[in-house]
Amino acid sequence: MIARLVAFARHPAVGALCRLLVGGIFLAAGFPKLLRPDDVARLVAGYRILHPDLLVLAGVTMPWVEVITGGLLVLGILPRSAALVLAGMLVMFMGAGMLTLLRGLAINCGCFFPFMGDHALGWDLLLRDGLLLLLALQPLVWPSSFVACMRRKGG
Amino acid sequence: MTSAPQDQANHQNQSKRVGAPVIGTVAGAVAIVLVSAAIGFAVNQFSPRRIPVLQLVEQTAAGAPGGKSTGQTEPTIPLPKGLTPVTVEEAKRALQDNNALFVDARSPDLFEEGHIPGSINLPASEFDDAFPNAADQLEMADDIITYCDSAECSDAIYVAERLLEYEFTNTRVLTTAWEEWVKGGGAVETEAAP
Repeated sequence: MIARLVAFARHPAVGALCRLLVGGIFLAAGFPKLLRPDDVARLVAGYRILHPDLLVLAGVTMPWVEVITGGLLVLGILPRSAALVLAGMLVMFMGAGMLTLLRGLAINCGCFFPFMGDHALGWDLLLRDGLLLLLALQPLVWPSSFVACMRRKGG
Repeated sequence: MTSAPQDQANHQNQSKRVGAPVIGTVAGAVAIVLVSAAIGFAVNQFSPRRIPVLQLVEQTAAGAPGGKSTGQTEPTIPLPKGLTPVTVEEAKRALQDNNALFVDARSPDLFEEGHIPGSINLPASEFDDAFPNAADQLEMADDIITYCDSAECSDAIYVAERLLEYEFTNTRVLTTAWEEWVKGGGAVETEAAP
């Protein structure tokens, strides 16, 4: 049973699906934020965790990390490293979300912009991040890329 | 059967084989983050919505006796070009003098729970649908003040920017938002759900 599950999880098609889902979601979330660092800094400020000096830093860099890493994962370029970055970000988001919920702050998730249908931060969103984290572990453990797939087909 | 030195050598080779991809993965991840951050900094320098990196942030002393900090921070993240901020006191005066139309950029649910008296609801997420119904009132207003839930939300800024696109150049933003309006003793109007 476990062997079957592992065989299923490491199948290249499952790997491609995981990369597309995780990378695609980060691309979609980060792309509209690229040229709006001030709005991102405000969203991050809502969590009241980061030192104010770091808010600007987060606003300027985070959307680019999301988009570039998401793009790399979708394309299968440095898939293991890209998956590691996104898994790290998901752990960070879950930690920040948990801390915020435990402190009783009612804020928007900030995952997407409000005008894109952002939701209030809740335990359901942390569960979603947890599922995404599971999917991000697939390319981290069994990395696959289009280059590798092409080689396999050619060989 | 293998000898002890051979076993040790095999073990070392195995460790190297396992260690190399891990180091490579971590190095790749660090490189991705650094390159992405560098691009972010470079684009920010030339962006029309550029924000000064590592800017100092003022500690708000609002409500604290003797001007001491309350521990709450208000980031001085600048508003986009063309928009000016309004303080709670200025907004209260505008409401008293009846010379401003308040635009609530929050969701209809929050609007119904309570809003600044006389406000119209123009949720950021439904701007395009809601704008035609609000256009007449907006055109008649001397001054327009948008607000959302807290100092950290950007809905009010988004709505103000969209209003600027429609040539409503008299639009300003209550940056400390609904949260500080209520804390500051601002008047509240409630509306029953339809």
